Amino acid sequence: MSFQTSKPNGFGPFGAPGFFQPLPPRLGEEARDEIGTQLRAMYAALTHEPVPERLIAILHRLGGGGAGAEERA
Amino acid sequence: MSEPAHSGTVEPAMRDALLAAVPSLRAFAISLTNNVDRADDLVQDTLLRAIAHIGRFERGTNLNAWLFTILRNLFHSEYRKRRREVEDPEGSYASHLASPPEQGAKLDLADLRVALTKLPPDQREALLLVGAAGLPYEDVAAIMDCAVGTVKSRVNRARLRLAQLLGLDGVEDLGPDRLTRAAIHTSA
Repeated sequence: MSFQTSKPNGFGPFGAPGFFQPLPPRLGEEARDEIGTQLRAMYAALTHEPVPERLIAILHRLGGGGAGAEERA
Repeated sequence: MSEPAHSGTVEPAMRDALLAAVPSLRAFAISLTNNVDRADDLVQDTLLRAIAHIGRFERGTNLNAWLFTILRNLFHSEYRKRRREVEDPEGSYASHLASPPEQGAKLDLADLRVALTKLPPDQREALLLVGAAGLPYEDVAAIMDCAVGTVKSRVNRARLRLAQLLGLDGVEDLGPDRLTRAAIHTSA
């Protein structure tokens, strides 16, 4: 029976690599909230844009009939 | 093993589910490319590929996540082909970023969209999927084929970079030395 006794390269005395490495800077809560709010607003605005007919047409061509297709057509 | 391409029709329920996913796919594609025409081409290719390989989709799993994965893979294929091209040839948006907005100013959506294009693709995708589309970290990790911790790291770096690009205040210094930082991080 053999045991692996050597630690992988880069592991320190606390068992995890980079334990004492500096943490990356973090963004303050206010700035993070601001970015989050604007990202969601941007995304919501984009999802409400009308879908181009060519994209709907692809699915209609391949999907056959159906209530959803007729409502959207 | 590859699934044979699907050449028949898609059943109405699946077709409707695909239709319902299109606005989200478009929003993701436009945010990734900052170009509506390219985004629509990307969504079109995503739908065609999804339909062709519909047999690979496991019913009961997250259809949107599956579609986002296809779209992301197509985006990267296209990105590799076009990476020598300039993303914004007219410079119409880039000119907005010639000087960062005034410190502490509220964000402008146009500036935000341009700033997103300045992020490395992996950070941009992670931030869009988590911060904009609101997907759980686990789903995003599956879409991006990486660990949850990697997604969190990418989101954090993306937010920091965005804040720099947009001239936002608020990058925190976590402490005077590494030990203090590590202790704060561990207890957080």
